[in-house]
Amino acid sequence: MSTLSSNLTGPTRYRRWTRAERAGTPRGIRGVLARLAWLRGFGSGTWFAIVRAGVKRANKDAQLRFLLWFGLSFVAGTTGLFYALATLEILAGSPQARGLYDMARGLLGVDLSGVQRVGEFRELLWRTVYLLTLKVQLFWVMTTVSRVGPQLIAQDIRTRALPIYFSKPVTPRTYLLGKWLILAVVVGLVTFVPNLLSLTLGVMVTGGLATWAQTLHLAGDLALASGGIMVLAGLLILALSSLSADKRYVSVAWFALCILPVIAQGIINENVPRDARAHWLGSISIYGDCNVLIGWLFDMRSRFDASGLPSEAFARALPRDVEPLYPALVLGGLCVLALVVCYRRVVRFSRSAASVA
Amino acid sequence: MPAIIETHQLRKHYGKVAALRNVSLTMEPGVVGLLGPNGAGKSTLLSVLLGQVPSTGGSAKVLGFDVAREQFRIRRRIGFMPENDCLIAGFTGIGYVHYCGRLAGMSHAAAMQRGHEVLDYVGLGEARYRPGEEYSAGMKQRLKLAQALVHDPDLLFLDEPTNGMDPQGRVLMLDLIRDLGRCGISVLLSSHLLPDVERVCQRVVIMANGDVLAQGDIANMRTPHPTRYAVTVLPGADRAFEQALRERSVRVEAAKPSGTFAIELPGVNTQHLVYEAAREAAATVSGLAPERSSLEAMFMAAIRRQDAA
Repeated sequence: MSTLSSNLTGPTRYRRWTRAERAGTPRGIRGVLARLAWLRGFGSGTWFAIVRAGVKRANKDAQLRFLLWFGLSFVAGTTGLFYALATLEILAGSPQARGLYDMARGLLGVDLSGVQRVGEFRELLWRTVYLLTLKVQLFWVMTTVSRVGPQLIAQDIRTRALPIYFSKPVTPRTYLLGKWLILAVVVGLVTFVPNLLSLTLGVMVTGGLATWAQTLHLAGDLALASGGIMVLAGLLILALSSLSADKRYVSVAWFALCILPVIAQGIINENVPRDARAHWLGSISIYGDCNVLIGWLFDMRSRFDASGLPSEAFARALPRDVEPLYPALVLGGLCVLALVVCYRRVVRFSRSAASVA
Repeated sequence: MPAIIETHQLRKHYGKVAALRNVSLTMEPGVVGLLGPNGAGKSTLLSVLLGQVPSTGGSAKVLGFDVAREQFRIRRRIGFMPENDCLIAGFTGIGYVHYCGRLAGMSHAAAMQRGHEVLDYVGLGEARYRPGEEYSAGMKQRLKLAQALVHDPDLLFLDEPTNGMDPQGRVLMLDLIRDLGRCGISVLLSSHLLPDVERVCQRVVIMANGDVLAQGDIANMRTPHPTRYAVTVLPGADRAFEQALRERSVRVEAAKPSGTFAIELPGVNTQHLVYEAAREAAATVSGLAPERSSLEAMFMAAIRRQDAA
């Protein structure tokens, strides 16, 4: 008798599940509570298991944790600006407000020195603050996604883990949804969470419920902007990750995709007349396109026109004069392409799962 | 006994290449070996049965569920152990098995409890908190078996489970497979190692070129050898019996102290020589049985038959 045969007696003997265990719910009060927990949560889905494991693994990355915590500094920055603007509402026109005018000009590119009732333009000013914050946060998203995204599918390809996924009741769609949600959590922690937090704090330091009602639409627009960034960044990095088994190549491709078009756009802007780049030529940078669409979403141009403020007052804050249609087509096309690429790759791997073995 | 796998005229074509040609097989509960040379269609058959690849024609049922329409019900009740390393990086042993349990639809608590149980069972209890990357080849094989077992499947697909294992580890793995069969879990064992299959399987399916060449109980499929026999005599006249056999041109290949001789007769239907030798040596023959062909011989014969056809 082998060593193992002797081990197979006693506590290490294989135990088949009882019917109650297979059903997944214990009896009695514990069973009732388990059913309630099942109703409350949605944790029984396999996609949730993928998200949970992915977020737990991402949380082990010390550099990512640092990036996320540092990203919360946006909360302090924007809340500080809201507090300064609230102070300016009180001090507008007085000599004490001079420093605040300078600060608004320096940070936001907004000249408020001729404005007597700053409070009337509060929403426009706050939108300007968030427009500029999101511009910076897009870089933050690029960096944090580069820490989490490249290995999401590439590592499963490298370690040949896909046969394991697709021998369980997991579909390619479930798999991709789980992987995308890991990125959505990270992008949300960089964009939506700090912005919503600073908005809440801004309302608190400015004036309470009246301000809340005035800026309620802004919360929705911030959620939409963050959602758009989640979809775009998530799909792009997943598509790149599905194309290679080496996460280093994916990282290089990701930075190239983010940075090279920005450089190319800069060169085009230098050398091509403004009218000629109003359409496609002005829409090749993902970063620039995101900014145009966020500006369009925030409805900056029409809000500014309705404010009656002189155009030079918001010179830096207003989005470029590019039709949002072209950036939307470029980014939408990229999203569709990325979705098709990663879906086809994962389906291919799911079909060859047993053959791989 | 209801069949756990039933296929009828199952076909799978990759373009013009036929990976499965009208495969019809019935697998009853138990440990079944799936044998075949490379390119025989074993992996394609597993893919189709797992519901990962749609078949081109025919039908297949696993555990009573149609593979085309009820693949997720099937996957909830089967465990799959791939041949290659498939460990997800960054997990400890228990973390990996727990994750696989969650992917199989188990709750967090159930997956954790079962994870510990199956790791104990496969003998990785001591190493459960070590990262999977630090495991030896044999431990990784057992970890793969643990992930396949975590949701207590009714049917296991094992693809080369003893690959890369040292002799002791191989014996342990085969013991585990045999024990699982005794616990009521059916096993489809795909392997190139015929001694492994012979050791744990009651039945085999032999495939080549996408066809099923033979299937059935190993014991029934083994053909008796026409001239090789094992003869047993009662103790007392062993030496004289051996000498009498040699005088009749019977080749004595091995003689055991228990009185059993492996012999090769000079021709077909010459068993009477054994009894004549016994009479001359005053020995009592207590057993005379033809030597059965080995699984390897069966396998090679099936392949030769197909080549000839």
